[in-house]
Amino acid sequence: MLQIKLPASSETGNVKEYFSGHYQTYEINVQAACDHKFRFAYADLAAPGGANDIAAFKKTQLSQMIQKLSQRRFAIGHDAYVCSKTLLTLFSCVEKDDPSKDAFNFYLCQMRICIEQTFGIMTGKLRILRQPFQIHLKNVGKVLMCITRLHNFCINEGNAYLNSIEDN
Amino acid sequence: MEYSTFIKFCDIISPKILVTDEMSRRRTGKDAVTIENMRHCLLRWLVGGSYLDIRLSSGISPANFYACIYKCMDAILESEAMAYKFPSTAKELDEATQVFESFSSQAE
Repeated sequence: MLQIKLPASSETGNVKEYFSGHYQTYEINVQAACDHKFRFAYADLAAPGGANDIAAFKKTQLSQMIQKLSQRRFAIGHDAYVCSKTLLTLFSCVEKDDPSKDAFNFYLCQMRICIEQTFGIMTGKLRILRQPFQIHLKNVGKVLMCITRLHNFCINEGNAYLNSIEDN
Repeated sequence: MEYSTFIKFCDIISPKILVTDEMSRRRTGKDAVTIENMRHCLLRWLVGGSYLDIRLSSGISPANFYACIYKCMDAILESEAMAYKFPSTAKELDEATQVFESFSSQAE
């Protein structure tokens, strides 16, 4: 979720759509994927903050990219998504009682944490993301795309902090 | 961002934001905002700086400040070198698979 200032009624037809009941703020739903080097492989503004994750995910090209993955290649997703042949999600609720499924969840989480780290590194570096965006709604996408690309560029060019993690 | 990275970043987006000094002088009577100054504005703004502080150190007006940062952003978004790369080839997928395996605490 990307926090924004209260959009003006001139910026959007439905201001309430941007209000996230869960976080109690005005937000935009961002769908992103990262690779093993904490670089964004994909990022996009998917829907207003009031939309649920699965509806937002289906709107993006990311869902089609994941569907096109070759055999025995999987993407790992949040448990809000629907599990498919190429998208793995966590077992939830009663299913977790089964020890083998619980173990599966444990190993999946070890890899899924990668996206959390990616966002952590990005927000730690580009601290404009630590506060609600104070810009016009139409420019939010442009700024986010620019930030994620800059984050990738910094990693590609060698970041001392990330290199030290890899060495260890 | 290290100095060498900043220079490389400048090289990537420079051609798209370059303004001719002579044309700028004819139009406004002043020199154009330098490319380094534009990128300085963008980077400082993205790392959490206030436009009030940044525009003073850069010596440009608020309107010009936002014009500069959006110009730089457009250049970044148009750049092929900075585009996202979703792993699609077998080699890229194999590399990603191997590294993700190593993230598991009990990978063999």
